[in-house]
Amino acid sequence: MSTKTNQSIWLAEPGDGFSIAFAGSSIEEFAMNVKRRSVPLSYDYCCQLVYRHGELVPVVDLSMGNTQTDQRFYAVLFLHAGKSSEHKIIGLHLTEPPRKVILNDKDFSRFDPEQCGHWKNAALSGYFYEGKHIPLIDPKSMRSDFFIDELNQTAMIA
Amino acid sequence: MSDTNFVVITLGSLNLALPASELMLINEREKVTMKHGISMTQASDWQVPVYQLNEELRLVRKRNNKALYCAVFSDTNKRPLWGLICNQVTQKNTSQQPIKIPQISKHPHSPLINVIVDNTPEKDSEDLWIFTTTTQALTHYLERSLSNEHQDQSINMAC
Repeated sequence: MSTKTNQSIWLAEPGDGFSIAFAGSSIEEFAMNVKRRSVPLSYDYCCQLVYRHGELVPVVDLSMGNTQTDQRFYAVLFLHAGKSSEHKIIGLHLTEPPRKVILNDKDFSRFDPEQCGHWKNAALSGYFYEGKHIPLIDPKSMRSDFFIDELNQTAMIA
Repeated sequence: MSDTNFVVITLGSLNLALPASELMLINEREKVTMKHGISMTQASDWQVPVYQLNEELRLVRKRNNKALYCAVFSDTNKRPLWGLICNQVTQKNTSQQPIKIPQISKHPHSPLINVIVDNTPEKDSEDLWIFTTTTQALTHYLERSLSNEHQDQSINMAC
């Protein structure tokens, strides 16, 4: 009987100083040069919407105010965020295309969620890779009060 | 709100739709006068306050000379409530269904409710986005904004 020891996940850079990861099954699509619109009276972490397949998709953008962010393109990772008929998808702005990495099971045991800032509230689990504690994010939790409240504490209205 | 019966007022780059039944009249900008420091306009037998919002829906005090109209909206009893200075007022008919703005994308005090994306194929330009609201929601928002502005002024005077 064989035991699976390696897993593949997608590593993403949202531009807020943290590296995060998603399971392949969480990802709907990665798109570059996405057309988006600003929403008046919104919080600056989620002030843009994308019209996609007849749905308004909110885009979480945590790179605001990060002067290191390269704005030559606007890339969005579209994620599965629920089963309800409306708002099934949530977008996350990335500053670089996501990359696939293969991890060994032992990498997961060294993970410390307290090192992941606001992302700890959306993490299913995580791993330790290249000297970083990287949370494995559940996109559904990006709509949770825990995650949003923490962003609200520091956010200004856009 | 019926998607076939609304008016769109243009505030800079923002297209804001309200139910056509709640639009009472459109005055020319020249019919807005200042009384005791408050912009007012005549709507039938009433004098109503007039507000100016920018494309981010913030109250603006500085006069916008490009804005030509003042659209006066009424409550459900057809009593005029207030006027809004705007660049343009149009009646819009569309078969596009309004889509609710995701909760995560709006502040709890925002009067915006839905978006209508007009992506009719004959247009070469980008999709037209129209944000919908109601007179009631906008009234609550204006009252809150004015109250906050008053509080800020009081704090500044106290300092």
